Amino acid sequence: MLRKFGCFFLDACVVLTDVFQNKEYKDKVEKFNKNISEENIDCFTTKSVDNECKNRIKQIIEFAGTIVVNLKLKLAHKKIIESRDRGEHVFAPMAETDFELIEQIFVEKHKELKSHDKDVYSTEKELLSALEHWAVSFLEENIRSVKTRSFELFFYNLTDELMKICTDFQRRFDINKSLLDPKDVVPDTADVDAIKGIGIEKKDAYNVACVKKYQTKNDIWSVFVSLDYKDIVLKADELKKHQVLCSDPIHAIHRLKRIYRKIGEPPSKGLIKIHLI
Amino acid sequence: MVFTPATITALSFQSSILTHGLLNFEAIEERITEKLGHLKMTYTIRKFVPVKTLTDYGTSDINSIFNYIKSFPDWFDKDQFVQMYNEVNNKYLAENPDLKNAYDEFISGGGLFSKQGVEKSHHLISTLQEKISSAMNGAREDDIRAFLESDLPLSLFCRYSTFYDAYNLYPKIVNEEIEHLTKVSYYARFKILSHKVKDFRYKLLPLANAIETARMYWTASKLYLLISHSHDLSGLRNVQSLSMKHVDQTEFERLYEGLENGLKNVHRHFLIHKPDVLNKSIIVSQPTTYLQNEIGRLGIR
Repeated sequence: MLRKFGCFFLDACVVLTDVFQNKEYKDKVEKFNKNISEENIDCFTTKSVDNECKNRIKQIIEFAGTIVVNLKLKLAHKKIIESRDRGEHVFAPMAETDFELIEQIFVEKHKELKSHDKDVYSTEKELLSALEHWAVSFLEENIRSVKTRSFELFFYNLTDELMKICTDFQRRFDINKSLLDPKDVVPDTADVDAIKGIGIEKKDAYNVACVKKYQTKNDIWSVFVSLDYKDIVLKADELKKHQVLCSDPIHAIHRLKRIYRKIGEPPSKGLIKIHLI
Repeated sequence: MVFTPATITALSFQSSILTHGLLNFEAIEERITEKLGHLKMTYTIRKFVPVKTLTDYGTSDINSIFNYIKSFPDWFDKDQFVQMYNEVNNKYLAENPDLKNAYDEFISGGGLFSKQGVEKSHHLISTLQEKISSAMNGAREDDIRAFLESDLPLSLFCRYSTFYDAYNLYPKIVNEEIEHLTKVSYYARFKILSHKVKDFRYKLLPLANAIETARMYWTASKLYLLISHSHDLSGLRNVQSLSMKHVDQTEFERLYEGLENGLKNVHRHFLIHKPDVLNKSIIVSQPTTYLQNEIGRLGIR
């Protein structure tokens, strides 16, 4: 019965937790997935959330890819000069002396990033630091091993491993069941504006308004599931006044059960009793 | 050279066997009457007829791929390219006689319509699996080198890699479906077996079509990149590095999205046929595991 009564819409952060295997929220999302599979409840995303996830994955992959190519170009330049000075035609192998240039390259990149806007800088800075840590540790491991010290092989292996994890993100995105059939919903502009009015960012307000539209159009209770406490979960009471229900993944199933128990009617008849939940 | 043409044609050839050889065929039952002295003998033979030969498929395959690319430069002569393509295809055939033999044995054994043919199909698929795996490894190596010599987005090469993983799983799924036919082939009469083969085909065709669409986009996007970096047909074999400045952004994105959507569709079919194969864990070094965890932490922001 509950299946026909309601459904869930996922926020991008919930989908991305699964795609990127985020450790902090992984258990929450796994529990939610178990709940919906036990109760056989439909779980969707809107086209806007689908695009947001797709763009985020692409953005991260491109950022990492650019850093690797940049690193390779600059180190190659240094190696060309070194080889020419030694009168050799092959690139010198990766060595202890390369750490200095790697450090310089990352310092330059950090400086370049600092000119970006504050919010973007904070995440990109951390991502850049993670890539820096990775490249340095990878080189340390390679220097210890005699076999893989060649310049070409080092970058081949570095890219190979990066591609492995990025391909895994793309595959996880492809098989996320909530994304199999993203709902192409166009929200009412008045709803988007009203939701923005309670201090919710435009992008989130759009996603929430899409869920409201779907709920009205299909006459099925639709709960927006999010991990974003600042913008969504902590504003659940205010959003309820706009006839949209939001929840943390842990409580989502119980929220839907509560609607069923306390209202027991589809939104067309039951929305007036939404304050009971 | 950034992409080895043999890898592209190898995949086309393997695909022709898998998709067309196994799924696109006709079964004919023929009654033959012969006179042996005073005796008149009537018997039935069952023929397994693939709709086209493998070489025909090679030609029609590349012509279909042309349809995925919006426009070609004036110097690109399609007929001449088809000729070039078939030459590489024939070379691949000559270099891989075991695959050709396995296919011929399967056809002459009666295809999926006889116990012998079904048995031969296992040998054919295992030979294919081996060839596909080696072709995919070669293609992946090409891609890593091409990426490092280019300013093309890493997500394109990762999508290629996702395609290789999916394509590697395809023969495994076909083989498992054939396992069901093997059991039936031991006792079933021709009519019942034909019926089961029809079910097999019906079950696998949507997956085969999805895989084929993804392969078309994969081939088309590689061919498009080569064409964008050449001035004549012979130049296609000599592209050393790739750059976005030679590429039409709109066309590039259209082909990328085609591949991306195609792969999503393939994965959707995998979820139906064999969801467990998708839950694989990847093995990487300690520093890369650290990076993976960090992206996991930062990616959701």
